[in-house]
Amino acid sequence: MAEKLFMMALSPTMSEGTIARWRVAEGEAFTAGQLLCEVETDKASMDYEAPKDARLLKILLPQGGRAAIGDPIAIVGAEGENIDALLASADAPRAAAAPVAAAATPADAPVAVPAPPAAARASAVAPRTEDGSRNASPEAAEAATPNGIRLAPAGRSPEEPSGRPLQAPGLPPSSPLARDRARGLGVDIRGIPGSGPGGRVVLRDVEAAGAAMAGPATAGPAAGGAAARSSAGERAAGEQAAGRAAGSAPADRRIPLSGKRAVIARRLSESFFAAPHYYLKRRVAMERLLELRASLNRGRERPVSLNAFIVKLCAEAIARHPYVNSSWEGDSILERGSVDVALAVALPDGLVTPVVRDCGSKGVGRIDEELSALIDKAKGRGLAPEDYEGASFTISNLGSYGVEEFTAIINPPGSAILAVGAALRTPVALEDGSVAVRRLAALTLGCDHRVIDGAAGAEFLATLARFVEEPALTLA
Amino acid sequence: MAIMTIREALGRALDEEMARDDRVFLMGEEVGEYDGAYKVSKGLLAKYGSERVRDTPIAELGFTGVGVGAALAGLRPVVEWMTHNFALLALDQVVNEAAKMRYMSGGLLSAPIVFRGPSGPAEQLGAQHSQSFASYWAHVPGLKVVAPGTAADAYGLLKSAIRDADPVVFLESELMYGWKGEVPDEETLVPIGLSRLARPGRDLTIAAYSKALKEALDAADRLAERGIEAEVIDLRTLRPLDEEAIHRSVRRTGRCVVVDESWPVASVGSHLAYLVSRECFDRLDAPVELVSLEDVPMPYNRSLELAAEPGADKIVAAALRALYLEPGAAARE
Repeated sequence: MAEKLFMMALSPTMSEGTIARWRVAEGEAFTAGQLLCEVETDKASMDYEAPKDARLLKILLPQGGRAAIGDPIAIVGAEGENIDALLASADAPRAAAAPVAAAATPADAPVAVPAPPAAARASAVAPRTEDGSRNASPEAAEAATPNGIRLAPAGRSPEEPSGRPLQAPGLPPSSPLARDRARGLGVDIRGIPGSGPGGRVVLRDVEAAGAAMAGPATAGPAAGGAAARSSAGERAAGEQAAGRAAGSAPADRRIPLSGKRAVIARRLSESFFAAPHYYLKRRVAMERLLELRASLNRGRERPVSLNAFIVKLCAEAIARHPYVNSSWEGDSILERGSVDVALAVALPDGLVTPVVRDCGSKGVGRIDEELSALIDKAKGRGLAPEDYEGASFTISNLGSYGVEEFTAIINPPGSAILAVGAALRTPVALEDGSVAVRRLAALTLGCDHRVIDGAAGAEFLATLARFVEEPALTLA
Repeated sequence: MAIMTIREALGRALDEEMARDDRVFLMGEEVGEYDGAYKVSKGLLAKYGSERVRDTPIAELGFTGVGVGAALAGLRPVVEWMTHNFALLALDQVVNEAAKMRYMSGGLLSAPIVFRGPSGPAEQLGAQHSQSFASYWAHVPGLKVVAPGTAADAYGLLKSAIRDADPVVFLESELMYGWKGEVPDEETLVPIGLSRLARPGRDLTIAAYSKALKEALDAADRLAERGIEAEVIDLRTLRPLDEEAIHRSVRRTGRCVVVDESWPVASVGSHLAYLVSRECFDRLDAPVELVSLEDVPMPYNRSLELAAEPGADKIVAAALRALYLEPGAAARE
């Protein structure tokens, strides 16, 4: 029986692939394990091997074509089989960049379906069935029926020659264990590329995503084996490059992505490219804050860190400007009640962002204790999802590296990030024309313009600057 | 601990039970004068006489029925079938009589009888003599079905089967009679209904029984060379299945390969795969794999015969599929 061949996940982080070259021509027969085509993935060129003996009846995705995991790339079967029905149902493979939501959803039909936003989102990411239609959620089906639109049933229909894994609407194909673990880790499974058959998200994918956020990875041998296999291609490529390199300069080195690195890359790219960033900068005099800290720390066994003060002052400023403590949710803005502040912490294998919850109701001592406990934990066995997820505001302080000022990328789901530079002794022109030396630090506030307009960001930053320069004003 | 063959372990169990209880007797083709078609009953005729070690005509339906009648009358028969292939003739006595007595008499009658003999493929015995009927027996409420994979279990389970108050079908294997293993020196009973952890592991669970247990353990060795720790569970009893032990293991490993020497359709293996899929659904990272005898009459040709059997190669491949480590696995959709 003729059937479609789908783009599959050839590496754990692959979400789409480009046909580098077909190695079997249309009409040619092949055997199981034979190289069908070479696929450029996000990281390397991978071999796509034939799953079984058959004949390549039709190439749907020509050389250079790009397809998301699960899109059909060819029709295979026995010689002379009629493939008209399969061809008719074949959704032309799209570049993954094309808006998935637009294709084949009920909204495409001539009659507009006023679906609630949540349902619309759900159907936009519903996995496609064999015939290219989408599994309709019950809500979508209900919304469509009065308008005379017939949705394909979510289950297999007789015309569908072979079943793909049925999934709850709104979820990519995923194993039950992977879904369970994702819930446990607080990871959104829809954002994880699946490495299993047909792009199925499996346990190792979730654990890689979780480990990436939690710090030092603790993957089991099975997951390790998988990683080893997927990176074998890259290693081979690296060795080849090393063999070619002549002369004294060291050869290029290709470093396979750790799961953590992949997630940092993905999340920050998503943030930077999706959220329109703008930056506001102010210099603030640090004397009063440094005096306050010295005074508080006098006689204290363990001094309270400057970061704890900055966290607290930000929380106080946020209390006066709660719109800063918000998340862009696509169809709405979620203003958060609790001020959950993340602090960017550098570890040898990458960045982590532990979160101190509800900073509005905690003193600097308590904030400092929680911060150092989280940092110790991050350095040790790694953070749990509840330790790093859901920050509503983030602070990054590179002052200790001597950095004067810098801009930072917003850490979702927050909408603003504060970049703190070093407190440098700086000549300042005073009102009376004289010059004095002050310790000034640059505060650079990065904002998501979808949520925080420029003037609103400026007001918040002004309040924060006043509090840093005169912490007692927080009492007002 | 004494090292002995499974043949000797079974013989010892018979000997001990016959010495212990004079209601126990053995009947079947060639069990007496010839010392057993596979020498399991070696020496028993000489020791216990022809009243208790009875050679029968080649008539499975007849002597199986005599055995069931003797059990109803208060004896403890052990009926030896030369192979389970021949036992199909006696299916009616086992299924319609022995298995039904307790239920249909409202508990007034019972048939404490053991039906035993080799089951499953050996080597080039042809399509009619290479069949595993484990699933036939396991299908029937009222029967217990036991399938040991080691000498110690062959010994301890046969003793338990003989003492059981209900009919027990006991599955042996021609190729296993010569396998050696440790058997406790002291008298030991292995309870019916309990599986055995044959090898601990954390990455996946392999459930197997009888002769295929060895293939499962070989596969686990090969997986270990790749850093994969497979847990192997020896089912030992097919009815009642030790379901909870298997579920506990799979809930921990998230992956399961069931190995069964029977055909795959409506089999012990497919039933176990169903149970695991249902009871461990939320803990599974991959579909449950079933490695069975291929769904064909057994070929006589040796190469084809090996290709039809659930060998270690196929178990390793299934394990790699379950771990998403097999090349090309993704395209099976």
